[in-house]
Amino acid sequence: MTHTIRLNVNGKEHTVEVPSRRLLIDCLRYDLGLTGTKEGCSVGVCGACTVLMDGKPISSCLALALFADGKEIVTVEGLAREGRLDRVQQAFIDYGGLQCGICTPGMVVTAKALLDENPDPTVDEIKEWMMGNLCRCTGYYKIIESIQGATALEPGGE
Amino acid sequence: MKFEQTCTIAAGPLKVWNFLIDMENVSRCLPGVESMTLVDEDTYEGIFKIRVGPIALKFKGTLRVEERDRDNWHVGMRVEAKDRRLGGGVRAYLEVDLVEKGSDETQLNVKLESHVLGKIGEFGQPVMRKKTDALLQEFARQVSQELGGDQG
Amino acid sequence: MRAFEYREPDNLEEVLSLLHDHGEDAKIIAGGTALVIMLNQRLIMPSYLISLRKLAGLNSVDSADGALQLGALVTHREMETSPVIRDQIPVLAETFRQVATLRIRNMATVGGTLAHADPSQDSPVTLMALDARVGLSSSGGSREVPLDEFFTDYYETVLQPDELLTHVQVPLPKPHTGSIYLKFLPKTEDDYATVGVAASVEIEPSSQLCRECRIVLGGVAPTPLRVKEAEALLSGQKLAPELLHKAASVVQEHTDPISDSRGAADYKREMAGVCVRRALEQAWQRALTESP
Repeated sequence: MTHTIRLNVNGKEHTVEVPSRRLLIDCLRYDLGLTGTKEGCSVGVCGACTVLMDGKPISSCLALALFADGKEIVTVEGLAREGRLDRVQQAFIDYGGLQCGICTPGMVVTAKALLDENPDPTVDEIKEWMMGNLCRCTGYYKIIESIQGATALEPGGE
Repeated sequence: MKFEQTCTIAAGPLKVWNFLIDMENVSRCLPGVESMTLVDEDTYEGIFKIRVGPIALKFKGTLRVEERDRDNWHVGMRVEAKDRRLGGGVRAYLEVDLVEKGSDETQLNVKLESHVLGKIGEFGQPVMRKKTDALLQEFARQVSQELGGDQG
Repeated sequence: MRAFEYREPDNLEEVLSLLHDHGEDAKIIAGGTALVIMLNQRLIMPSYLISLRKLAGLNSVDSADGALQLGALVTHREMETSPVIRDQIPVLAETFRQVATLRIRNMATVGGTLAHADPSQDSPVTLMALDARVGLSSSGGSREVPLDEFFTDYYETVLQPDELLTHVQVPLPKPHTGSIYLKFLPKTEDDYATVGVAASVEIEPSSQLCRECRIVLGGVAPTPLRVKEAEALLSGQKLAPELLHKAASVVQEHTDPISDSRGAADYKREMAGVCVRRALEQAWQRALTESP
């Protein structure tokens, strides 16, 4: 059974035909060609597939594409505006918050949601918010520093 | 996974032996057996259902009697079954031993060694253990009841 | 996953009618965080998926008649952050906050968790310790079930194939009551509990004796485990280490844990005792400090 869904992804309206069983991550990656979102564990634990749905971080590997009908989705591709990186992205570069990069799209999307809700989080608040995003490379210190560093930047990146 | 169940049946070992040697009795006492048909002297084909919450498993396979030692009241059976829908299966060896306690009392010892394969094995292996335990308990209880005895 | 027909009714009658028509062939999906995994792994293969996404009226938290009424579609995140919950039954907010990760909590619902019935989950344990009741509806009518009669086995409840869990009713705690949910997690913080304990202690303020208490455990039995025998031990007694040890022993006798990646059965039994003592102590302290 196929459905036509209308979703706003990174500020742009899309109309997509999907079978009921299509997962949101597959819709984003294959139907819309937005391969920035990564599939890590397929069971919602690792956070690599994190996207924002109406501003809230969710696991796109656990959401049916149908759940996004009528919603606003933000993926990592939607963070930069008019060629300028979001401050979170800039800070991850400046502070070295990544190595292999596979967790990074999920990290920056989640961090962006944090700063949207809490512009000046404490270290404990950062840790609690980011707790569900796993990284096998960095040991997390640089990621926390990057997020702290981002709070000092102007939102549009500097 | 290894399981053991033991119970006392108010009947002599010969009676219990003759009861168990008839697969119809075994399939009646084992909850979940949907069918069990004789293929040859030592082989049976059957369908066995078990449920874990919303997950319904339907195993189709064979049971082969590999050991039948009447002098020592010992039976050994090998089970191989698949759930084709889920792409999983089970391989097990079941041993039944009878110990004479009196002319009208027999101790029934059941030993099961099972390997659950594929997806079913990954999900809820520990839950399967609990279910299998309950199953064997029920089996022992049913046999007991049918042979008119109390549980030991 | 296998193909299915997808329906998104916007009213309860239609949901119930679909459940009535399709029964065992249909599954309800709310947040989907547990269900999608099972669908992906083909552990369940319903012909119909009835999504509650568009269903209005089941996602609010209301306070009335000395109780909180939680709509089944309230998310964990809403439970965690709701000012009403944090003010009136803070132990509930604390419990929902400890579930999995933020992403899961943004989607997973109060009702969905209960219907999923994994005995290692957090919220059922606390809700049971708070004497919660669930409202179930079908096209044939509705009924209310106390939560300690709701769970029957691993992943099994009294929900009939044509029934929907619509709300959870939680009585407001009586004065001089302290409650706590203790989640014992020797591994990672985003996991299910190895052992979870919810304890609620109501004291008589002048004598400081225990009037009533509730002790519920997760992760140590096929369902959330309420140990009334241990509760009875505390009734009318003063807080004392020997008493808590005794209660813990009684609890251990009632546990029936399985060995898995979160711990061996013996370990869980041992930690159940330890955690019950700690939880009772903390709940009692909360009850004492709440007194004027």
